[in-house]
Amino acid sequence: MGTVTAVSRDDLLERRRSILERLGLTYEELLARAEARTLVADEYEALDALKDIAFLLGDD
Amino acid sequence: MTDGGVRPPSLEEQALDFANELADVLGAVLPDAPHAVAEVVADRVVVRPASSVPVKIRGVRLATLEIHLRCVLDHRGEWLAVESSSFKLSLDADRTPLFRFEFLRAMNVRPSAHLQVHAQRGALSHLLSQAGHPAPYEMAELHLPLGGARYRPCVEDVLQFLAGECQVDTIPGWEQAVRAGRARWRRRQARAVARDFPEEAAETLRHLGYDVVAPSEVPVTSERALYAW
Repeated sequence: MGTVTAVSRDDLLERRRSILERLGLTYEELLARAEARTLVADEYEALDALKDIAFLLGDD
Repeated sequence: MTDGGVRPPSLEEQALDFANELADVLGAVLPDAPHAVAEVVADRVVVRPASSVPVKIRGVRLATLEIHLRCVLDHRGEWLAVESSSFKLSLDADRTPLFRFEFLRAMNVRPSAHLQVHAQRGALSHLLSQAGHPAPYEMAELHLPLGGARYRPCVEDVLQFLAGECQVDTIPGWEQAVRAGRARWRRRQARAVARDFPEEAAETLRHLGYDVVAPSEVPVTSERALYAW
């Protein structure tokens, strides 16, 4: 079964803040780690979640 | 305007259809697969499983499949089209990807649809280092082309790869869901290819005996459809 949810920009910004706080990184730092091929464990999953958020926000 | 004679449903209805299709095939193939969600902001939609998808061997969870489908309305503002997608398998022990099937429609320098394999191979590293590649020991730095926007693999192909090649745990009868989903995907892609190449599509249909009359203004095939890799 699938569901559809309309999400707000505020929800997405809060979700982004929460993910980055958990990682202890800025989005730019995480992207730099991806570019440098030094992502580890949680960071891979977080990067995809943050790409989803950036896409929905039109920041991609 | 219609696609295959069908008037497009609303954005939310199309998003729900995508989420239902993903949930249905995951639930029919992999044990304990979560349901799927579509998140909508304006004309943008992300469809993904509600949580990571467990991949089991003989009942033990060993790996995780992540799926992300990022969609926008097409240039006519009618049909949802995938702008980027990612199917990623990671081993739970180190949570590092094993492989990633990815698609980024806007990508130009590298193939828009590609496979990245996170592995090492000495002979390949030797070849790349001789060529001066900046990361010769990272096979994942290579983007293996997968047929571009129209001929890339669908989620059903990746699921069958897991089931048939990797021999992960599956639900009895999974093949039927994969066949149905793949057929749906290929019919959609066939319509998209016909839109990309209307003259070739019309010529082929005439050859098959259909009566096809060109419109007064014949659409031009885009350079992207012809040349993007």
